[in-house]
Amino acid sequence: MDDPYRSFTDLITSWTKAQEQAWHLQSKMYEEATATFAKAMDNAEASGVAPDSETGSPFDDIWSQSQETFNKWSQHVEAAIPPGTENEIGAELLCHLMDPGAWLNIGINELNRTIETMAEGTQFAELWGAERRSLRASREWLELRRHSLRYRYVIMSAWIRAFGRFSEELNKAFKESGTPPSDWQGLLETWLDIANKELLKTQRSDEFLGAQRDLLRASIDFRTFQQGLVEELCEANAIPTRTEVDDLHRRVTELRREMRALKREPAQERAGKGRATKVRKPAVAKARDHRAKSRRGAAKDPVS
Amino acid sequence: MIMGFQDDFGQALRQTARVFGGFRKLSEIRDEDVQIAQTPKDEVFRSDRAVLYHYRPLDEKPPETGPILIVYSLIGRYTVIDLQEDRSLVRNLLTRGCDLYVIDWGTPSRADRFLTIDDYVDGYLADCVDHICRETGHDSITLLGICEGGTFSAAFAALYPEKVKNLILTVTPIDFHADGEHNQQGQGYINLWIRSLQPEDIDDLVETFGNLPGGLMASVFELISPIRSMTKYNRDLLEIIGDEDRLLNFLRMEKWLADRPDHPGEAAKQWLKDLYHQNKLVKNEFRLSGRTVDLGQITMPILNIFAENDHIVPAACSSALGGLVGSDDYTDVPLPGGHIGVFVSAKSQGLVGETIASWLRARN
Repeated sequence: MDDPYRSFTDLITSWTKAQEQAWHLQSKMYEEATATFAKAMDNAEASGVAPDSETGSPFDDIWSQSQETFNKWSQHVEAAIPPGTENEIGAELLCHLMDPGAWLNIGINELNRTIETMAEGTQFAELWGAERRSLRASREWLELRRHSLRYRYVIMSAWIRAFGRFSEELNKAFKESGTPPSDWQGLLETWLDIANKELLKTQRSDEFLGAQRDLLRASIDFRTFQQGLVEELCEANAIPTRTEVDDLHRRVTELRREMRALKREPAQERAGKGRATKVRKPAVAKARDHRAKSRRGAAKDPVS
Repeated sequence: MIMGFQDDFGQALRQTARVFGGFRKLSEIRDEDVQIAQTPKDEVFRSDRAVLYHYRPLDEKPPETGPILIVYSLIGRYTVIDLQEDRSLVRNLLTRGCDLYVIDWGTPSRADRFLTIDDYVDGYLADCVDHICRETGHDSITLLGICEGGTFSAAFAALYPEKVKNLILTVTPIDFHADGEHNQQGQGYINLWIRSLQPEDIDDLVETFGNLPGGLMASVFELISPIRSMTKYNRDLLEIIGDEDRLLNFLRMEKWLADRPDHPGEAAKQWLKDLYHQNKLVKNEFRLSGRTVDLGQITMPILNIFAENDHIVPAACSSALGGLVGSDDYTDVPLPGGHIGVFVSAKSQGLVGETIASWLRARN
């Protein structure tokens, strides 16, 4: 009589074998990835830092390598898990959350996207198409792209490091137990823990903060350049410019401030008469002593 | 092996049914199903965008306290303190007999870029305090400041101590450079991020965008817990999607998070440069309306509540207040939880409200 679960048993057997091979493969993949990463870093330094174009840059190299590494990993995951089990959901999430693209599209890259969106403003489909094309050829636009790529390069470097640690962790567990891990949700937790630590560390690094600051500066420069062009267009067509509207807002704010002060004067005069003898309590000496102590924080200077 | 497979398969089926049911429910939820800040209140005063509300008592009993004015931050909206019926600082205080007011700063536009902290503290906040005093016949009221609103409240109390009966601060930054002390993983990132900018960067940012864009700050907040930002719309949502109550809780919080107003530009410059960069408040160098804000002038009773696991305002930045004020009646209350969790988490419900109410009762 045919065993109805034979195919499932076969699947489990092949899955186990595939996993054993995969853990060995993974070490190799990591070695390749770190080698490419090191090469990309060398190239970047030799060329005076910057990934400065969309293709053929160190970012491009590191991105391809991350993609290749991830594709091998996800193929292995897809081949290894039995479909129709709870593990499948965990495995899908694992692939989704390990995808280097996820680091470039959500979460950590959100700031990058926000800054770029702020710089570019609203995109009207065909409005000012020619002007937009010329804007995109400007020095400011190229600088914005260059700093965006550099920022992404820093993020991808973090992904490579996180994947390296993940591989090391799995290999260590495999060597100790002799069996490949079979709990995919456990793997997911391991990855998220490693990724979180790596990201928190990266985000505090001078490299990351510097890349982000430069990206923000480039976005401000681009936006300023863009606004300058719009102002010229407005002036030529007798449309109020941003500068003029800002000036108006400044005047309104100042007038409102004056009005508030004038409205308050009679009330303050009345209160002053009623409280002629009331003296504000002096601060106790305790405050001065403690304040001197608290200067420890005040002595710090902003990071330059 | 066979039993294991059947268990797995059955689990998978149940999980799938739960998830599909959840997604169907999600598609049926309308915006009006996800309401926040629903505790009844009445508008009693308005100045420009700032609106003063007075909460109605939850029962017929007269309030047991004098007026308390809640002052929220310009970063985010006050609605988080009344997220839903069972997660509401407002309701927790009302049920304990508090007479509550709140200022809604509104949603600033580019037209508000020239508003300064002077305008907020010495203008809108001062006007609201005066209005409450006038309407209720009190000479002074209790201020309950939250985060940046706490810093505003402390500044107001230093400038006008005679108008503040009690000062209650929650998760409030005072010493903006104390973040290096006793940091847990990820804490103090906002301080670090802001200090990574040069003063000229902040000036240029405001000059170009008019205000400090709310979206930019929201993105920086996401960096505080990067993995949580990556997982919340997949793994986390999958975990709760089959549970209608938890799903609605999640959506209410998302609704609050999405409502991130821009911070008026000139006020942002003061907030970031004078306070985060130069830490002027603790040096007694912070000036508003031509006067120095001297924390030593804060002589009324003070309750300072902060969160031990606050990633946005590290506890040390808040607790520094104790050594700076002139009051002899100062109470520090460290609570478990994070910056927002201290108000909205299930565990903290009632804790903040009871701490405040019992502290006030002891001083009535």
